[in-house]
Amino acid sequence: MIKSGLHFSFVLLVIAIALYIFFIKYTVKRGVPPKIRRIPGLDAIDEAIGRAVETGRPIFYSTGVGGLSGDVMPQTLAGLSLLNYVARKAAEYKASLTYLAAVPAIVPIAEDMFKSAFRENYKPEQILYIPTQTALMATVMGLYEREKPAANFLLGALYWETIILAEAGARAGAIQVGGTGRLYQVPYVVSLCDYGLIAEELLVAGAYVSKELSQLGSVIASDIIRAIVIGLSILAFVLGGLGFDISKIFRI
Amino acid sequence: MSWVRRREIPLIIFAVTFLISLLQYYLAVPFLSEVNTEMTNWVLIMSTFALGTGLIALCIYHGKIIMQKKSGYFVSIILFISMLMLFISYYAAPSFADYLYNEIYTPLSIAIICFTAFYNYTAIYRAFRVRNIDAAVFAFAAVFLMMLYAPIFEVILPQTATVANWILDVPNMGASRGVIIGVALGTIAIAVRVLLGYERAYTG
Amino acid sequence: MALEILSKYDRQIIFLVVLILTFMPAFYPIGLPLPQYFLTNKVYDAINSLKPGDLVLISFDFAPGVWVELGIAMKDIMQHLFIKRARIVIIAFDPNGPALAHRVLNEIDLKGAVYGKDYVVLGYIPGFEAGMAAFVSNPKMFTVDYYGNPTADMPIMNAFNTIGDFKMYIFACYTWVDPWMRQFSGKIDIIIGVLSADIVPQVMPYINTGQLYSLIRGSRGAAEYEQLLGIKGEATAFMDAASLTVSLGVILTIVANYGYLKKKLGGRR
Repeated sequence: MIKSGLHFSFVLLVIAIALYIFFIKYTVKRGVPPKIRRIPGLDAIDEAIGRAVETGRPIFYSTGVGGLSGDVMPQTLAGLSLLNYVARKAAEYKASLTYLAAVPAIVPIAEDMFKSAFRENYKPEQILYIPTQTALMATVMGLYEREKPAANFLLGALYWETIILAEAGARAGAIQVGGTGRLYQVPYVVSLCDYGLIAEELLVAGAYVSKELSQLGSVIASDIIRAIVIGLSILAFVLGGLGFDISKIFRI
Repeated sequence: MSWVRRREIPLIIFAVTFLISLLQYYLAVPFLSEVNTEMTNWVLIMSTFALGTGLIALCIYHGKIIMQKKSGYFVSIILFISMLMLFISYYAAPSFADYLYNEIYTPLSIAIICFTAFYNYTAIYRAFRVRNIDAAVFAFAAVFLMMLYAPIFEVILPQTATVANWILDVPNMGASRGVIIGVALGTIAIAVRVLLGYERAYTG
Repeated sequence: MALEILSKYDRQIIFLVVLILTFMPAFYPIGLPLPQYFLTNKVYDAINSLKPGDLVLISFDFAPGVWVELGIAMKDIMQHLFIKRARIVIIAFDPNGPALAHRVLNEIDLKGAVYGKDYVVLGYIPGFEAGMAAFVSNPKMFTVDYYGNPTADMPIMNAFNTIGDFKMYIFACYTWVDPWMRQFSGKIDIIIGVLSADIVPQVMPYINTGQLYSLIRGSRGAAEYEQLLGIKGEATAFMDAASLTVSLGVILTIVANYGYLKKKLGGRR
């Protein structure tokens, strides 16, 4: 019934899905969040908000031009979880926070977050909707020069806009925290931001601040599956070195 | 009609479409493939329809700005003028539409993208400082890969291309595969969470 | 002293130097030799081995902002396809695609090819990856082409029924290749990517597994392709500027580190 050449991949996928279901259900049922190592970038978020409060300068936040569909969805959702955290902190310390929204579907979600965080202090201008990537880049170049942000957060599915956003933020003297799972933009995040969250770190950070048990459970499952993948890779490496061709197993 | 707004509806739609598209990839069942083809056609129709609704929403949004004379309303006027000019010329004078697209819109887009080049160079100056061993590895790899894209270095020092191609084929390949696996796992995780009803951000 | 000035006015100086280095070769061409990259040769050989009448699917999936990086390469490749008398079906998963394809067709020599018989621009397919999946399952989904002509009467539309009927697929994109790989790999024998240079490092795993047959790396790849075609086109003209500006990148890295180390050592003393 299973198409030829896909048996192995099907079994692996079923195991992965089963592990995710088990650990998500288990963590939610247990009700106790699992321990996750503290990520340095997360401490930097609090530091950056604190600096914005001290200097009286604004905070800008962008999740990039990645939307809520396809394989960038987890990154955008992690970026939004962190936005929720930043919004609550900014509201608590009365800091000025603006979200640069480039995707229309995210605007109502961000509005909800801001309304619940800032309550009566919420202003619609806090969510700046700038459609298309080029418009976002053009806007940011002027906006950061004028506003001189104290903190600049770039967390989500980032594309080509990263270099402009991060460099403009650096020129304005902002503390920058960047993070993306998009491989193509990781070098810009690492080189231009003061703190970088690379690939999985962003997803884990999102789960960490949201304190949502289902997200934290999926982090455990991801780690176990990753260990299985590493084990298989080492096995393939060793057996390959000994002259056994195991590549056919993957194509069963 | 309150059942329409129930949160279970999008969840059921997701579960059915997800399972069909996943299973048709693995299982040799012609019925599943046919249903999947039909489903992708629906997505296509909905995406096309969304373009139309997007146009209406855009007109309402900018129309309101002009009517209320909000700050920057002249930009909204420019939007309507450009949109109408392109729309009319596309049907009435296609060569003029080509001119607008190729000689005005394209150079403007290129100009914005070109800024990345300028920003790139100031970023290089600031970021490639060898503060520690990580930064040293990063700067080393970056310099050789930059050299790979400029013919001058390959002509003067052919070894630079060998080093750069090694960086591309060995360490870069390993790291790229790691990240691809990580992102794929993240995607499976989100699918499972949506399936179990824990992830609701996509419903707004 | 020079370092102090550079650190004070770094942005202005660097912007000015980039501008000068970009424009200078236009007035004083250097004409540096261009070593070939094996993947560009692989693309050239694959297209060269096409027989007249072979079906090639092309998608223009980029915005006009990256015309210099991808548009010129697409022009060179399309020119080669028309020389080989391949039959070409053009689609797009980016709304800008059809207009860019139209521009390419206006700027190259079509070698007497007839629209509707030898080539066709079908137009934009919305939905991005869902659009790709829909096209892969039914490539005859278009009832009218980009210009509004009915496709039923076009001879080229009768030349294929399934995605497997295409001999080659060439796509041009500047962000990521994963969706194209997921939807097209394994369904068409030869898949070629025309990609912006910055994403090439991350695409290499797909080349290694054979999911992506080969690639053209931006304007540098286009210049190499022009050399193989024996023409001195737009991309060749850009190569001097590329060499000079990239050299600036290398020099800036050295200067930045020299200044940084000097400051650090001076501080220690």
